[in-house]
Amino acid sequence: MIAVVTVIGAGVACRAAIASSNASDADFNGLVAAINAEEAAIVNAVTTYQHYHAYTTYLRYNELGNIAAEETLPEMARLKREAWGLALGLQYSFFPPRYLNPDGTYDTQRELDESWAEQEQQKDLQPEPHFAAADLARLKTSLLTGALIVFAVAFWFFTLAQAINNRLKYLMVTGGFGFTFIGLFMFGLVEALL
Amino acid sequence: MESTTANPPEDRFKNLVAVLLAIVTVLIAIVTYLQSDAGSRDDAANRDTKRYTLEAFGKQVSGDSRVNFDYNSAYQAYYELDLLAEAARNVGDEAAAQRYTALRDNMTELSPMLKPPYFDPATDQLNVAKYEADTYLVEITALRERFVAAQGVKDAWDSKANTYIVHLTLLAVSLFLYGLAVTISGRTTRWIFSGVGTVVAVVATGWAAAVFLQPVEDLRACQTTDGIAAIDAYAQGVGLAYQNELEQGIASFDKALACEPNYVNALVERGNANMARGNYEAAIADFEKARAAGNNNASVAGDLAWAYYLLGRFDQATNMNRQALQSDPNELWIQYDLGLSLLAAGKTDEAKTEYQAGMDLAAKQVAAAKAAGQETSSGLWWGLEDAANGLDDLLTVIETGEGQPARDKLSNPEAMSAAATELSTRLKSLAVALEYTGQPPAGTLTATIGPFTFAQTVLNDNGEVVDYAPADSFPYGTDEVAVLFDYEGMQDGQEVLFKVYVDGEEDPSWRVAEPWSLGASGAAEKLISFAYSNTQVLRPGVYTVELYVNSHFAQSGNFVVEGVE
Repeated sequence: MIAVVTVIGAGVACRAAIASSNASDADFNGLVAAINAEEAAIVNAVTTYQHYHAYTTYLRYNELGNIAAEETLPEMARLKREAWGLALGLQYSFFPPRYLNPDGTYDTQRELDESWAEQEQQKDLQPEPHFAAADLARLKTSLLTGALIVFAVAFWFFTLAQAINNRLKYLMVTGGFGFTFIGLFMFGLVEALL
Repeated sequence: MESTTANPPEDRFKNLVAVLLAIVTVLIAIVTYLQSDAGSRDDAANRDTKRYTLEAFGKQVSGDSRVNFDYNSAYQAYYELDLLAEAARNVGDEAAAQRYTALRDNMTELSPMLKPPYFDPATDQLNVAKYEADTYLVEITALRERFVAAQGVKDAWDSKANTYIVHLTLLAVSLFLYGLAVTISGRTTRWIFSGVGTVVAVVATGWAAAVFLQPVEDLRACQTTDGIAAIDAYAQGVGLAYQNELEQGIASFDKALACEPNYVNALVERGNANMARGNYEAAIADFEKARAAGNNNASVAGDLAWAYYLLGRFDQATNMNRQALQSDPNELWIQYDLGLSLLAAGKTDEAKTEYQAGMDLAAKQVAAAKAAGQETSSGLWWGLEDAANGLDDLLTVIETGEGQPARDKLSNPEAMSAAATELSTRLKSLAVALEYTGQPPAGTLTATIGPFTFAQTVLNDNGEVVDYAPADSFPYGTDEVAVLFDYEGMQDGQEVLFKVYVDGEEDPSWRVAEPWSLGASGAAEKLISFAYSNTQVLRPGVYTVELYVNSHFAQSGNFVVEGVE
């Protein structure tokens, strides 16, 4: 039984090592996703605010045209045409007009959200599930290593049983079997649940 | 009943060793569990450090990008249109002014920064610091603190995990000794082996228990009485101090420190806030606690030394500056502060030696940068300017009794005054020479520049200057001040530099460097003027004008532009 417990212990230790390796892999994948997410957030913010900068200039010319349109002076007619022309040019070349709201404002949040969704289709941007998986794998490692203690206690009982020549050895054997089964139950439960 | 004593001694010994082997196996299993657990926590904390760094970096760049747009696009558009409206109003074009004003007001929709609580359109007061703090500064400060805390946790669990490996090794040695004991036939020798094995196992077990009982403190878990994390309270404090809301900032730091009294960064930041409030005793207490809690940063030691200096505790300032320089000998500002504290203590010769060491170091750093084809750190120029300012402030204390340290704390102010003037002049000349030539100033000043007279220009109907109205103080709205001076011994082609400081800080937009072309002697005029614009006036403050000839400090003078009544 000592040999059997040793072999079972080695098997559990092997599963614990695999769980530990899985935890490291999940952490790595999570960090890759975190890098992707931050890269996407930075690129999206920079691009969106470049567009918003162009929109700001557009707005100035557009509003200047609107104000000029309210005036009756002849030079204002020319100013109006020039200002609106510039606004139109900026709108077509320097920012995507589809983020212009009907009231003339620019929806930066929509642009940021759409860009994020676009990136999300191409890359993994969610580190959380990976980190949760890593934590779970670590818990599994910990519990399996805990099961090894139970097998070690069983080993101790079996060794004691071998060393004793009176009837107490049967108690030790029973203890050894008891702890072996507890260890196996723990192992099975951990494997089944995690 | 059978008895174990019926067995021969050989068997009894082997049985005993077998039981001991089994016990050590159980211990190995337990320590393996502890090692595995510590390793897992180490890995988790390590992962957190990387994650916090990434997030802080990303939010910093995104936040900067956002604030850059808000300030440099949205607010700039508002500001430009506001100036255009004012310019139109100044020339009597009310219709244009109204158009620009309407256009300007439309710009406020572009950014939350142009709305309350960040912007007050009635006064045109913009609180960029509050906007930055709310947008990203507090958040990234908290992330950085979590990074530091996670790093500490990682190190602690890493150390535990590594120590458990030592315990496992010792237990393996114990197993080895037991194994040897059962193979050896000599009675005494096998008892020695098994005895040593037992001692090793007991030591390893006791040591492992001690390591297990050692707590790992995680600042991230520390909660204030308000239920917020100490780190978040600290980050809020940093945000408030950044907005110059020092009292509220200190209250936030207090909350963080109530949770963790040895929170080093909170102690340092509270010390900085207390310094900014002029509460030097409290600042000293904070900096000293920070150092006692393990902060060996040269900058904190330098700040502590500065607080000692301001309170007239010159010997402590000197010692602390020396300690700071041991941590980082290249910190120029600390080197100059060391000279200043010695000077204030009346140790003029020692002070001059330390200032000279600082000037040599500055020249060496500039030469090294030039040789490597690189630019010098901006901190070097700041350090030189700060050193000269420190001496000028000391001179003000000696002359007027106003400022810190208190005049009655100074030893032999007369001798000190002469040395401070000489050192300030040398530092200023060195800064200019290093910046423009990369070398310390060569030769000596041969020209004589008379004292500056400041005056408002008096114009005739054609806008020509017909006279000057000298004054030391000018009302708000002044858009031009003439600097008048006599000179002798000048040579055409000499490099002349004018620098203008407002409230002790140079305004580089006024800096003029040009070759001299007005002959050997005579009277000269230099205009500080916004008269070409119909919107700008000189902002209120104390203006200091300095003149350098071939990098040698030649003359300086002050005037005041008064504030709005």
